[in-house]
Amino acid sequence: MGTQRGKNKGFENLVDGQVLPQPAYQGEFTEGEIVQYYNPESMTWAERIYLPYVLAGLGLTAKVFLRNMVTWFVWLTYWVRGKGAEAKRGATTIYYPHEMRPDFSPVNRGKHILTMRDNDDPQCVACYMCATACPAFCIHIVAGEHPDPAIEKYPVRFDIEIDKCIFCGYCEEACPVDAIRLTTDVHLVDYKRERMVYDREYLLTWKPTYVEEEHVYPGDRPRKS
Amino acid sequence: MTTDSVTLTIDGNSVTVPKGTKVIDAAREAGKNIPHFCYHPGLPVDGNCRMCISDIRTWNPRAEKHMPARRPAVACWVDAEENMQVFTDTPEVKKARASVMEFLLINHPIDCPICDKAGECMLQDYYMLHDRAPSKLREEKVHKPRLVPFGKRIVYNGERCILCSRCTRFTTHVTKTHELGIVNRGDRAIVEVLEGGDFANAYTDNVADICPVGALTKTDFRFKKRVWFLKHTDSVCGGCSRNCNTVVDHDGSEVIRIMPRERAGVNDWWMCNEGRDLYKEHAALARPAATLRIDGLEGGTASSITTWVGEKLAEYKKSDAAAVLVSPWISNEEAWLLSFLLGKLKIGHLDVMTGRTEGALPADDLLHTDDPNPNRAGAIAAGIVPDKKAGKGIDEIKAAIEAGEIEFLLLWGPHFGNDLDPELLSKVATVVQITDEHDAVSDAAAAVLPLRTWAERDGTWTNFEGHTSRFRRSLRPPAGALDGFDLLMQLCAAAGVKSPAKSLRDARKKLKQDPDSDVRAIVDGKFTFPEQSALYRHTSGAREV
Ligand code: SF4
Ligand code: SF4
Ligand code: SF4
Ligand code: SF4
Ligand code: FES
Repeated sequence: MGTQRGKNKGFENLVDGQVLPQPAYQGEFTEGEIVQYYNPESMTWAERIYLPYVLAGLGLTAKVFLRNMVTWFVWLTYWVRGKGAEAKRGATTIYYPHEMRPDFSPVNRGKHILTMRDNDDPQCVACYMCATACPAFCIHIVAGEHPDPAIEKYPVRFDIEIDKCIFCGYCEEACPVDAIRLTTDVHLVDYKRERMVYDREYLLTWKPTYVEEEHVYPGDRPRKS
Repeated sequence: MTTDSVTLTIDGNSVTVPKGTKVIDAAREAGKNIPHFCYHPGLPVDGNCRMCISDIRTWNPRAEKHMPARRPAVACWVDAEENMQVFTDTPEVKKARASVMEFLLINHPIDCPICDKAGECMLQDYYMLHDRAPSKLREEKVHKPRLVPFGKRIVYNGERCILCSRCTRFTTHVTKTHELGIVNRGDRAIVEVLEGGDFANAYTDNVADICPVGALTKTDFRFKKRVWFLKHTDSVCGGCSRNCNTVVDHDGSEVIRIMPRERAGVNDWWMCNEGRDLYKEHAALARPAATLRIDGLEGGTASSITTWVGEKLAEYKKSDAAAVLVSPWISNEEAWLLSFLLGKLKIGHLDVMTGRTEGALPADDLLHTDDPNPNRAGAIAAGIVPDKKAGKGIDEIKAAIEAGEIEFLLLWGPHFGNDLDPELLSKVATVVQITDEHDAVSDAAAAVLPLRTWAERDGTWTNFEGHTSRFRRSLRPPAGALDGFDLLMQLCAAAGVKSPAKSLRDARKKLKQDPDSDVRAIVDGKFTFPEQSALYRHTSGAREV
């Protein structure tokens, strides 16, 4: 412990002289107590002839198949009566991209949007706080002089390299004017690498694919369309 | 007490200072920064911001005790006295300071997100250190003029201004041009360019540096970069022979701005606008490429060309047909090694060229000198002078070229156009140009070697008064550009002369010790930079050249 304190010495007065807490697991393991996990060296007789386990595997697959089959047919009887939504459908797979899950958590962190002022100008004042906070260095801003002297500064360019982004949400937290938000949208696929850089226009105008407007953040004012 | 110095204690540390020193300066001497806005070591005291209030107790000799202070007093106004006791951070002082901060922030717009000063703003720093309280104001803040141009280079934002009067004192006492003044009263007071005037002196940008907040910002730096993305490198301005000490703020490949660095006896705290704009010239520089135009030897790499030049120099040993002209942009170390090499080879026709004349501004009594080149004094002191016995100076060299007597001419450094025209140079059989700037001669010279510029190499320059300042490498040099000193070491090796120094650092050391050399790389005065916020702290402290 003593040496550990010494090592952290420089940080001691970081927060008004408070000593930072030590890591909780410190000193819990001593040498010789290390537990190792490994597979047993030899297989049992049943394992060595494989067949029982192959059959067991087939059985499991068949069980799932039959269960899905039955629930599917049950669901079909509902569907023909026009009551498809009332019963559980067979397999839990969904048919992406024709079908998308609507049940992401409302605080899931996904693709960014830039918010707008009432006159469709970006809310962003190009303060670079997000770019400073971003641990992935994926936000690139070029600031310019806004024609309206009351606004003064705005982003001429605002690019996010979405393929570098780690969706930590720091940008959103750093923003002093609520100009950048992470939506719950996770659909970031594309065929071209260049299109993984989202520019200002795109970030200002794209619409989340499936999420209800008020679903972006419950209680927030809706985005201007 | 009739002595010239007084001894007092600052937070228990005793310090001795000359009589008449202000308490705040004495505290700086003791290594204690008393927070301040309106105080600036280069300006007369004003004492209006009250940020520097401290508990100051005078010594009563009759009662033989310290008189308890009735109220805190401003450390920038009170003279240090014998036996005085100063406490700079007692709980009462801290509380008083927090109240001062609260007053200063009453009408401040807190628009740090769009303020170029953010990150090096004293108001921000001191708020975090001394206040940290939310505003209690319920009314709307007072609105004042924003975006007011003060001349072409400065923008004024009245809402951010804390009326410390540093800028007006600068124009009154430093430039003595009296352009700025504070008009109106109370919460309507603002700084204005006084009637009928224009804010256009040669030192206007300094007001943006000394403005403790973002009320005065530079148009040149406007929205260019947040200051915390900048890297800082100590450098020296080459704009004239004053050699203002500077900090080059850059991002590794590009200079974003140039700021003055405190250097007593040279530029004190200031620098001129032209010096700040020098980086634009640097960015626009056409850079030469290593070239050799000798029949049968065309092409070649930089090192093979260097070897060729070195051997050629050795061929002209003791010859009357070789001459060397040096630009006043050479560094002291390079000049020293070059003059050593030429001394060994007994090439005596050697002189410093006129150099740059384009940027010449009228000399004034603040900083500007009439020589827009940095190191004429240093080059001459380091030995770039014609040989005492048979050497020719620049005019005689020109005459000799005219007469066709010079076969080999080495041009070191840029800006020789004022001495030599291409027509004259065509009379020389072999012209070797070692420079950082591509020009007409680079297209015709027998050999061209690219050099690094002042921003890309290390060295020292000596100003017209003999003060030596060190500049350091700030930018990545372009591919192929050679360091002047390394190049000279290679030339020495190729010419068969043993270099007296192993490295640049070694050369600097030898320069200092060499009793025969006229160059004394002496630093006088301490480098301190207490004025800027945390960003600049790495540049503080005494620096040996
Ligand atoms: S979510 Fe994190 S990584 Fe992604 S842009 Fe924002 S700050 Fe950068
Ligand atoms: S933090 Fe907000 S206002 Fe600042 S640059 Fe980023 S998005 Fe714009
Ligand atoms: S503009 Fe800046 S330097 Fe001038 S009075 Fe206002 S705060 Fe002080
Ligand atoms: S006075 Fe001379 S050395 Fe100083 S900044 Fe101006 S040009 Fe540069
Ligand atoms: S610094 Fe002393 S009153 Fe302003």
